[in-house]
Amino acid sequence: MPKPLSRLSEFLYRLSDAWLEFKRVKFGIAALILLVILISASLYVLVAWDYPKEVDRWLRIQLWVENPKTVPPCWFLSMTGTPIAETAAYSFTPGRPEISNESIEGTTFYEASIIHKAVVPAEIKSPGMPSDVRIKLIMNTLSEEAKKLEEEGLIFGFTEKYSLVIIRPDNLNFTLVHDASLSTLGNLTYPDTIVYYERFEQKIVKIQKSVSLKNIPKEHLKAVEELAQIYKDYNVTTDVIASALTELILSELTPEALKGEYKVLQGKYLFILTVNRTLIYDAANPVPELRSFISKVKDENPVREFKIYLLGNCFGFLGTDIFGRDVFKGVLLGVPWALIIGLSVAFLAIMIGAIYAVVAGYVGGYVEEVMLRVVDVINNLPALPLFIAIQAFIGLNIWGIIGLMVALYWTGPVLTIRAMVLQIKESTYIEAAKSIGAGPLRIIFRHILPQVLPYAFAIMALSVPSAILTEAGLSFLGLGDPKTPTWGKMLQETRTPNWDAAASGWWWWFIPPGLAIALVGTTFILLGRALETIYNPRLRKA
Amino acid sequence: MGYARFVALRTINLMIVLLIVLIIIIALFEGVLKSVTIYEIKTNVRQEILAEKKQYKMNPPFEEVWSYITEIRDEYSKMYPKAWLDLKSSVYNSVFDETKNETLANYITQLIEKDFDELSEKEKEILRTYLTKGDVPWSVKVAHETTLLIIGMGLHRPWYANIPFYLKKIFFLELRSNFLTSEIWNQGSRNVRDIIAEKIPYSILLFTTSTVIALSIALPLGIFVASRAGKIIDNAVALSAIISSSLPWWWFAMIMIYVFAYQLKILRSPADLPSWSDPLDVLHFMILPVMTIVILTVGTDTYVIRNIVISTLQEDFVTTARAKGLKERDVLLKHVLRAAAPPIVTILMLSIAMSFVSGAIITEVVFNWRGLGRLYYNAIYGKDVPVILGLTYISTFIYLAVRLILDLIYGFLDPRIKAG
Repeated sequence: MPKPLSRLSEFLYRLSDAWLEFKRVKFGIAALILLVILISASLYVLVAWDYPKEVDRWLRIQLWVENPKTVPPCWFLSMTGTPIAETAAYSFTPGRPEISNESIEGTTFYEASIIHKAVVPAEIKSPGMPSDVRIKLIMNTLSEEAKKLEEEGLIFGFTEKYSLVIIRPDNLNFTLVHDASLSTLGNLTYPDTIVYYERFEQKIVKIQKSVSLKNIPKEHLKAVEELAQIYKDYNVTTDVIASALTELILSELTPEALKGEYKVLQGKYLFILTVNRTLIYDAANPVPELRSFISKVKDENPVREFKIYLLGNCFGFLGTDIFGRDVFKGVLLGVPWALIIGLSVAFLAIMIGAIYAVVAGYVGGYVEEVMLRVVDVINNLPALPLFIAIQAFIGLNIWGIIGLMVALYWTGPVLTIRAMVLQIKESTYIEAAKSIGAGPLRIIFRHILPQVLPYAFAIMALSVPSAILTEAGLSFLGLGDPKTPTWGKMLQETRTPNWDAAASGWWWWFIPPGLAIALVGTTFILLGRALETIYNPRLRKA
Repeated sequence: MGYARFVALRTINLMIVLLIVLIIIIALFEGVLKSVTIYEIKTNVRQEILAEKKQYKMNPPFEEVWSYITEIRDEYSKMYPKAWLDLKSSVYNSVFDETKNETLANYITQLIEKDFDELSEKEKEILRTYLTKGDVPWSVKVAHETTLLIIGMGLHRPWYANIPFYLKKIFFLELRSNFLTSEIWNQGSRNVRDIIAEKIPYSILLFTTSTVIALSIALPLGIFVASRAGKIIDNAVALSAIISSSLPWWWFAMIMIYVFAYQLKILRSPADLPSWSDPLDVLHFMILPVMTIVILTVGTDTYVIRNIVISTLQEDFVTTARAKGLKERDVLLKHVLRAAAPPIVTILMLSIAMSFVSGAIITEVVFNWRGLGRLYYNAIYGKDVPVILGLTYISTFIYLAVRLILDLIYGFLDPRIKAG
């Protein structure tokens, strides 16, 4: 007489049996390999990275300004034969202040002028054209303090002027900003940069800005006129020059450059920031506030930080989006969420549906009739319009969306599984179990449910993609969870009233997330089909 | 007889579903619906009162204003407590607008809580002055009239008591949009019914055209593939069905636009809107969306038809027909197709219905197609609540209507049901 199997070995036996059957389905193996890749990718992301921190960093777009924007992947550029420009950052060296202090004849008044300079040496080493030049400034400003002193009558005519000049390797210089006031400098930040004034006792003491050369309004740039002067024989409008300003400043000024054939001028560039402060004060005035202010003007370097970023023309494996974020990183960040959404919705919905169906089928009678009516109603509910209505007013987070999908999707397998249960219910071993006094709960959970579970797993795999697609659709409509980096959210960002990645040709931004969705979906459908061919009683018969 | 009974049963069933969806919507959004309705009432009342104010050129006497206040305070606030709060806040706001004095406005709001006889002479004087000053009496009148109307309509009752009222309102789409206006028929109308109704033909045009084209490719292809089960073309069809059901349609649409409109530049880009009154122009604009939807659906349709045909081929009557010596062509067209038609029609019609309630409708957004999907997008972005509610209802309605039609056709085509 054979020894009865222990529970573990019975399980292992069943598993190996299932594996033997599964192995015969070729596309099932392919799906399994894809699944292993997906799971290991998401484990890698979750374990090797500090996932919550990376997500937080991903969502805060202002942290990514130092990357080039909407540049293609590097391998693509080298494939098309375009020379590559690397992203590089350069810091400033402070210069000595030039001080002139002249007395005004016949009075005790002095006119002081103090010029502070900061120089950034930057170098272009490769023939690739940088996509942009980003200027980052942190400066102390004294204009607010001076205004107060002026009101008190201690100083007169205080001015603070800023100039920014580029000296090129061929010794041509271009003035970006010439003797601009604080407000003009503030205007430069429009439209994409971050300015924050550090307020201290209602005074602006610090300006921090990071401005991209391409985004400075051209009417502020003197360099446009200077370039127009150089090209005056070629009959070009300033608009043409303004639209290609960054490229022209960084390339050899040949006539071809006007037609868009730039040849990058390699070598050392100097970016010089000048802060010119002038004021008139009464040297005989002994007020300590005035003394300390004047020593501050003379000694304190206004430039705290001055950095130049030569932004490259390509980035990483999948390029960057419009905020300078690494697209490949975004796709990787989305892997765990896609699996969580798909698997949890599928698992919960199908388990609920399977148990419901087994109970309905087993109990029968009026109870079954009522239970099936409920299923009929939920089956007829249009899912997406309801999701949209709920999300538009309530705005659930990602777990709420998952719960909502479970609430509407659980009826999917009920009718099929119930039909299976009706068959199983009549089989002799159920009768045997009943005859030895097994209760209905025991029969349902020990004898019927395990019979329908393999089929339920097949349905489960098949319903993973629809959960992912629904979430992506909601996100695309702007109704997703804004704090979750799903692929749908990435795709939503590619298409706004202000930009359209498809129209601008930024394929590296909008193709990968959708491809990832399609990959996950295909994996689970193949897996589900494989399980179905093994376990679906209808297909097996045929 | 059997068919009539079947039709009646299905109709009742789907009506119940529609009713349940509407009740779910009402239960979920009762607060929103109520505030939208009250806002509408308030706007109407305010307009009327403003007209009245212009006509009389004189403010109502203090006694009248005071009677409005006490009426709401003593009578209506029992039924509808919010009325009193609304009145107080409108008194506060209008006094503040009149005097720009926060303390005074506060003080007057406290005074109207008390009985008139309990007040001191000075307090009475203050009330007399400020409650008849400028806009204050009119805003009291607006609050009074609004409360009367709200109570008259029964809106102060709990949500379930108002289900019939809201049911009628949503069922006939008697809603007013927040800001979206209709573009085609009744230009500038803010009636949700106008806004939605004019978009439906465009959605139907897009999806039925695509489905008809996809079907005319899929039907012969499906029958052909069924005869070649297990061959390469069969596997290719299966794979394309799997892939197209696992990718977001709107994303595929973006790729199609990128490739055909912007890279190859052979089809019209969705940014280049047509003049909607010119059918040829619309047709030209429609090529790319229709092409995209056809590519997305043709694989699945073919696969479905193939499966149905294969399972019909295994039936006994096919064997009989072959045994009788019928030509294979006749077996396929006269016997197999006749039997396979009901499920094929069901599934394909269902796919049209599904396109209204699934992600397919989002495709319209990408193509700038002036249909329900794009309206959804605009309503969501503008947070136009009544339009979203109307769309939820309409898409449910269309979906259920198509299912009903489908059931009827199915019953008509399937002799077993027809016979009862």
